[in-house]
Amino acid sequence: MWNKALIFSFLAVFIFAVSASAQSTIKIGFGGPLSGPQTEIGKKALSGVQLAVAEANAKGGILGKKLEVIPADDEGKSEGAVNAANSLIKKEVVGVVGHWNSACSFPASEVYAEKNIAMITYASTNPKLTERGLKNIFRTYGRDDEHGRINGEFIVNTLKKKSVAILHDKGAYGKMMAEITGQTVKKLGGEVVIFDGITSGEKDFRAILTKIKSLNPEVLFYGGYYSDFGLILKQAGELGAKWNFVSVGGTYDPELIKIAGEGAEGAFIQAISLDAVKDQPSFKRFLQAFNDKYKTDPDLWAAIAYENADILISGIKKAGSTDSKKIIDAIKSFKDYQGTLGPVTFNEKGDIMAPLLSMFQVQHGKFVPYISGLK
Amino acid sequence: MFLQQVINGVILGFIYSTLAMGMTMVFGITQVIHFSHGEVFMIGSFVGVGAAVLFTESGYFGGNILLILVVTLALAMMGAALLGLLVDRTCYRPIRRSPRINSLVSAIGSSIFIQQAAILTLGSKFRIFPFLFPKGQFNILGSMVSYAQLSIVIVSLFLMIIFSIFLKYTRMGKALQTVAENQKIAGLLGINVNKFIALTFLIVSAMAGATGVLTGSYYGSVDFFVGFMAGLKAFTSMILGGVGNVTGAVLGGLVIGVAETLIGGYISNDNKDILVFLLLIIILVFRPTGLLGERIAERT
Repeated sequence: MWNKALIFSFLAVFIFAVSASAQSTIKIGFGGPLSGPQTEIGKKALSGVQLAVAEANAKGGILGKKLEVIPADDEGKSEGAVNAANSLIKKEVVGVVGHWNSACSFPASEVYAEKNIAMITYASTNPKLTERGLKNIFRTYGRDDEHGRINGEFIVNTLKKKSVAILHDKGAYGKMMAEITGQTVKKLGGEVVIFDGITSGEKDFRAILTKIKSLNPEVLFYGGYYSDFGLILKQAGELGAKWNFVSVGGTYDPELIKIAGEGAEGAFIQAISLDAVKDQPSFKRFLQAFNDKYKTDPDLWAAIAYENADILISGIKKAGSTDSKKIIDAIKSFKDYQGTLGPVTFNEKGDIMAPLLSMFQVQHGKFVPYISGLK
Repeated sequence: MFLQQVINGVILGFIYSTLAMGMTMVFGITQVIHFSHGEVFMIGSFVGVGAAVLFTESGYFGGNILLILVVTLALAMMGAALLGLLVDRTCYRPIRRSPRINSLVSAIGSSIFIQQAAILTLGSKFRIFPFLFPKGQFNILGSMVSYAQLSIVIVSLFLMIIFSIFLKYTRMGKALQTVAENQKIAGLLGINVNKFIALTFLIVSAMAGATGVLTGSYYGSVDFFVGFMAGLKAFTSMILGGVGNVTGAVLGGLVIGVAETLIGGYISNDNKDILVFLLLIIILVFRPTGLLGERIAERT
């Protein structure tokens, strides 16, 4: 009898201890590519989120609890994103910073929506993402239709070029960028001489580049990411191409110039510009903190993911609760919240009102702002 | 433009060929689809990029590019050969007498293992491979051929020829062919089968390592994913050429390379992969054993 009571009380203490430990931290999810060809991007972004959480914990956490980052690898694929999202929900995260690819953010956001968990994407640009009436999704990055329109106008109105060759990597992001840019070029009286896709991860793009060379366009526009575009620039240079190159935020990475070498000279890349905010005190402080912690500079994704994590943490603080619905309402109610990169206000759909967009040109192996603050 | 595209394709084809040759050799001797051959190639590239960066940046060999290329090739071949031997010893040899499906799983497993190990130890970042070829290009009938492309063809051809001579005219090569023909009888004849299989892995892995250096330097960037892509294309080339047939693998690689480029250049780059594999299926429908394949079914 006494023994039984002892066992029960042990059991009770044990269960209490387990449940207490399960709730002693507030869990923030991170979704992004932590394996596959985009691993590096995912890891950098994750380090941004971890920094934001470490800083919040250093100040004593929020609501009397410490914060914890739960990373989930979406492998850069839609299937992976569903698994990642489910694993985050199982681990009871209160909000998610993610995902990177649009192709991942779509299915993942549906999974989060079922549990009404806030998701703030740090890079997905597909316009439809916030057009589906989901209440739980936020975006701090400019949308493709904006980017695409601005690209098309830049090519026709600013560069004064008419004939454009368009390539993309067949991914949701790259293809949409390419399509909208192409439509804008046509609308403004330009001509799209070729519209074709490449296979991401391949190393040899000479076949399509040789073909484009025979079509003799004035501009090559590329929709996709830096690893492929770097090789395209390099090989186009070797084939003696004399076109202007224009591309989008996914290719904005110093690695691009390392891969392409001299081939990158003169290329125009439209991106959210860290250079545009480099004198802003909030950004300077972030830069310093990131350098202290990781001994390396943050990239764009790390900065935006950091800002997103900060927004999420402030949202939890403002909601005064870990109730996911209250957190969503709190984030929605932000008016000119002072984010790391600028004021943050979300519209009805969850899109940030003022994304930072700039056009850069590669000059002497560096991205140099060409036009800041495109509208 | 047509000639230029064919040249583009042939260069690509030579890269596939050298790898397919190795894969098909391994199959001929052990009946294992050596999936991790692509990863051996990737590790060769990484050893190469490490050596090449060290030599070019710290000014070894007086900055003599040719000398650096030769030493880099040698080191990468050694590194790749070691890895190849290790894969055979740990993943294939212990299950040599098990059903073939086991070694297939083992092959895929080792491929994933090496790729993930590379991510964890070497990082997922790109490495920039220094350019180790003579700079510049020349003109053939209005098409540009760079010295780098020429070098790839020369080195690949050189390796292929040396390998064929070894197989056909040396005692060891003949013994190797006997092992491929029938392991049991070869064993009865006093040939140390495991030793010869190891020798095969040594040779083909060294070739893959050399290819890793050439392609790495040619394209200028190396990452952990290159092995997977190259392995897939080499596998396809091997099937197309006829599994187990060395000449077939070379032919298969060239056909895939040129077909890929011509389809990409003339029809649609977007649907290139679909069309290349459609072509592959059509060829296999009419020639189920590949272009030069023998009928393996009879032998096994």
